Amino acid sequence: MNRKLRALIFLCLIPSQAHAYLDPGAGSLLMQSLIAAGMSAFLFLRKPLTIIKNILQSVRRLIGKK
Amino acid sequence: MTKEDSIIKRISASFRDPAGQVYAKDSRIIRSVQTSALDDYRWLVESGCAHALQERGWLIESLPFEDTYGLPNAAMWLQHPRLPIISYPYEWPFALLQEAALLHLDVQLTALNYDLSLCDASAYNIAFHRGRPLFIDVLSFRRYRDGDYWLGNKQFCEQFLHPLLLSAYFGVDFQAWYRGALEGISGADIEALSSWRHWLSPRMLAHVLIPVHLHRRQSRLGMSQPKPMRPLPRSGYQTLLNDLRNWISGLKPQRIISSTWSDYAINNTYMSAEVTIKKDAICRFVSQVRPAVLMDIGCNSGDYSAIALAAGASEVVGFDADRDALDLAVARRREQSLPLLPLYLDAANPSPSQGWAESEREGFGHRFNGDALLALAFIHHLVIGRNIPLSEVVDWLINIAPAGLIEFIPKSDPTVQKMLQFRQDIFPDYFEAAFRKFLESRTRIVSVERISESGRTVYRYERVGK
Repeated sequence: MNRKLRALIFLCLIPSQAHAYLDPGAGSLLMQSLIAAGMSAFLFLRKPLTIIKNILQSVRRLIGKK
Repeated sequence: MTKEDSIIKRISASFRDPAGQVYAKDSRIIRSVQTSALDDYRWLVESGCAHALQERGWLIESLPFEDTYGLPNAAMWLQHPRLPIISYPYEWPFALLQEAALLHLDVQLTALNYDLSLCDASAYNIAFHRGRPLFIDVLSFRRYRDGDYWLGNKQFCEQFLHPLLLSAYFGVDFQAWYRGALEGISGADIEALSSWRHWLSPRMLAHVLIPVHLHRRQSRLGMSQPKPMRPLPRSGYQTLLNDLRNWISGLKPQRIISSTWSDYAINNTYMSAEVTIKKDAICRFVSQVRPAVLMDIGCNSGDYSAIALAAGASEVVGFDADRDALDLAVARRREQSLPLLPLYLDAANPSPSQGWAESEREGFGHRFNGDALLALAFIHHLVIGRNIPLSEVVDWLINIAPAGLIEFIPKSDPTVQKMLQFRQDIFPDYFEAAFRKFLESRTRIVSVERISESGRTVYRYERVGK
């Protein structure tokens, strides 16, 4: 990808930049993006995990009944 | 009111923020709101956030203001009450910087409930008024949109977290370092001090060490490998704030060596009868002068500050160079809810005017002018301890307030004897008659009270002229 284009995409992806009159610092933003990634991975995995958990619970219930 | 007070003056520290400028006029602070900041300010008021914060005593009161002074163009003008004392983070003892940090986080957490966040995290946006921290910049609030990042995170760490860590984790007092680094202490400095133990702490990693590492890596790579920025969920923002809140509220200053004067209150060289005479002198003076702001230079653990408050002073600003004594004063203030502000001061080297154009942060003399002064058992520390001429010490003290009590301790007193024990006595001018002469040259001596057999004497003065 063109270097300038990639730089432009990078800038567009930083939210609320229009309001920032101070330098937020790359380290702090990248750390927050890691937190965001961690949280979105958790949210993404939460649904399948809940489904598996429900299946396991119903299996356990079935075994218990027997 | 002096002629200078009646002039409208732009506050020299307000040049950075394009959202508005700040001016001082008499007992008011006047703030311009530029068009770019108008919607955010309106939302702060209309959402009820400002009211909620003001009700808790966290945010300064503000009212619309009609400009009749011919100020520069602005979309709106606001007025705030002018606080009598503005102190800076490098003058705060540990506990006050900690309180200010917690206030900043509490304001953010409350603001988020109203879809607002803070666009910066400057410690200079917090003042201590009547002993309590107060957020004073109403133009720092911005509309929050889901997914927004905390843009003030780095500034928060540099101006609040890192100085606190210096003291709590490394036993280094932050005030001198902070004074030399007005924008705060960098994460790289904290990283340089860290040992392997700190690399095992999840909080040190998350809030200090990983951001420093990422910043360095990003600087090295430049823009060649941009990382996509995912939206940060609101709960992520809140977790960040809450985790910092929990961490900071549990920090305690680490004292490697106990300081010189912290045991003063217990081991001082007074007899109790002498303390009573001194206390009576303070009560009489304060109840007659009724100062709005009293400056207690060399306040130690705040014994006499508390007496002055009980006798009718509205607010006391105490100064001391001893961090342990200041911690005791802060604890006393907290336990008894006193309007007392204990600040760090090395009187031989008070805060200078500094920052941009050497006026961004004003020096001690510009900010700390009270209605009354206490300087008890103080001057010998400067004259004998620091070789400062007696006449200059007296001059410096009476410039602080128009009326006050100054104690003179003669050389025969055990305290001064102890100071001279291992050094040559090069102070032939340090005697009471000389002190009296210097005091009389600029003030009227109202009373003189001998308070100890060793010759300790308390002089009450009233300044003559300016």
